[in-house]
Amino acid sequence: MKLLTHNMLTSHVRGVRPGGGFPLRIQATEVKVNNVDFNQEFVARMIPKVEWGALVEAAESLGHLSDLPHELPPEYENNEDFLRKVHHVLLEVRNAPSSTSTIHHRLPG
Amino acid sequence: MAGSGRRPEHRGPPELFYDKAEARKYSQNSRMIEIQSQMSERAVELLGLPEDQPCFLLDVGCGSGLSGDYISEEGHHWVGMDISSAMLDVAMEREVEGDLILADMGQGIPFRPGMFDGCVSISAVQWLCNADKKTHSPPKRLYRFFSTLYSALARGSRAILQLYPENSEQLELITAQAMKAGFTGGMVVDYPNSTKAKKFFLCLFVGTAGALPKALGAECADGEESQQAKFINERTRFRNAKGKSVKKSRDWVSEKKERRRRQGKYVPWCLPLLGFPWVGGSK
Repeated sequence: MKLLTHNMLTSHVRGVRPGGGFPLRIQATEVKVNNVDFNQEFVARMIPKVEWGALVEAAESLGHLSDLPHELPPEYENNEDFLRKVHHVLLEVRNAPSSTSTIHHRLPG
Repeated sequence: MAGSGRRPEHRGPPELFYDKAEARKYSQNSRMIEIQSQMSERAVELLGLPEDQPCFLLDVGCGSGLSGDYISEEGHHWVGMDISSAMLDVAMEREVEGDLILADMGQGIPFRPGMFDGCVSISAVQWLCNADKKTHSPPKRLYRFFSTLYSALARGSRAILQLYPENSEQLELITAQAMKAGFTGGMVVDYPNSTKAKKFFLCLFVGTAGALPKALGAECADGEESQQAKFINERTRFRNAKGKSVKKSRDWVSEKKERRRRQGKYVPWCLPLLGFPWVGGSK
């Protein structure tokens, strides 16, 4: 699963933990890197939606931090170097490619 | 699914119906692939995404990722959800671009609010009308699906859900729950005059009220003219034709062509006077 998807996933079970079921814990058995075409506009558009702290934490746990700063730098829209790093972490790094990810709920109905 | 009279929804829960044999059809049966890709193409068209802007889409009931392929072709990124692991295995084998998640849509869309620029779903939502377990309540599951979908979509985006409703009650149940969850919009029926080509698209809007897009092949179905009686100052030469044109006449040919066009069938292009090639060259 890409880290972009991981960053957007949350649990809908109410009262799971104080954080409200976000972010989900990663149990990576295998980490793979695929090449994805870089699109500056798309990455710049996704950054405001991403929970930055959770992304850095997830990238660190997979060992692919790629020099991401812990604080989101100002005026990143035109900083291509930075956007390329974010692109790599968001879209190219994948965990556990051999099986699909399951979301378990214990809710009836 | 194809060729059998019974609806797949009546045979069992989706996670069991879409087993390995059924999933293989979606990667090998060229007719199924063609229909699926046509419907996804139309669904993405109805989404009305801004041009030249890569978007992030959700595919509910993505199955083997046929609809995702079209989305990737268009340059968008996507995440797919499905309840059948056999179908997702086929998608993995095909190495689709998007991320795949094994989840039941009746339990809600597990994403943070406002994440997606749009949602498509091909032939999936009618499954929610079935109660496959004791704990299942179709209205509750539909409401849970729509309310979580509403929150996961960005304001001003759309959800286009293609579905096969069994009857009008089912359609009403689905749309009622969607409206209850806060969506606006309605149903677009493509080729309403044809039994086979008819397709239902539930077009749901988040936040803004847009005009409902036009269905294909429905131009004459609700035109103003059809509501008025026509006065034709003409002698009726063929009394037993009962309002129909005389066979093989120019009017008959153009009427037949119009009817076939409305049904979305192939109509050869030629001058109306020449008629159909198979009618014979008598005229």
